[in-house]
Amino acid sequence: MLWPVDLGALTQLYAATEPSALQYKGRYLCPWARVSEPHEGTKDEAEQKKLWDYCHETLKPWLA
Amino acid sequence: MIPPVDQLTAQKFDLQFGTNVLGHFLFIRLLYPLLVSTTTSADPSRIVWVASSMQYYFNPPIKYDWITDTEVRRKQDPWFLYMQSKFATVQLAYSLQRELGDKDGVVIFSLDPGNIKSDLQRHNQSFIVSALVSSYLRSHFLRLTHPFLVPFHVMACRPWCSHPTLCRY
Repeated sequence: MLWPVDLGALTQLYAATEPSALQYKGRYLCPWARVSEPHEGTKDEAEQKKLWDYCHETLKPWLA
Repeated sequence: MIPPVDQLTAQKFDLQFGTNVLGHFLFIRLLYPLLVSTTTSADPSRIVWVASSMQYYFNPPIKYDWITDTEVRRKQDPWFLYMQSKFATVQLAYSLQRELGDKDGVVIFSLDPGNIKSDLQRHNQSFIVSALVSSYLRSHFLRLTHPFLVPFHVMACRPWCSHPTLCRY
């Protein structure tokens, strides 16, 4: 089932504008405008750091 | 979304990783000083990174040889490249919050916008079949160590069972 585009905007608008969304700072949201949990592997801080460093290194020519 | 595997960015990165991850990350980094200078505690600047439920299907860790145009990348199903890119956005959203946002008072989210009828699926006319059947089956092969985890996560976030008590996972 594919949903209409206005619903596609809903969770993003909630995250971007709704004052009560601030209680979910740093979290992952799911349809429609609810807090959820992503893949457990996304929370591995060593892997996060590796990707963070990779992105900065790779984008260096454009970040200078 | 899910373009043919030979498609690259102008800088020769995998098209999906380049667009979904590197391009957005660069955009955020360049805008970040403005976000910091305009943030207030009452109304903090926010970064909303649109990920996908497909991040659940990725088998970590990030494969760095899928990002540039290597032999091993060319052998991948473009769906896997998509899953990796969305997994990476969620990882980076966490990093942004911890490394920068918490210090500067900027709020970062990542999210699944839902399966929306849009031009995103133009490379996959049978998107419903592809996404909801094929990838579902793939997930069982990818994540045999957690046979129940992925389907349950995905089911818990499906709109037809979006009751708050079902969506807490």
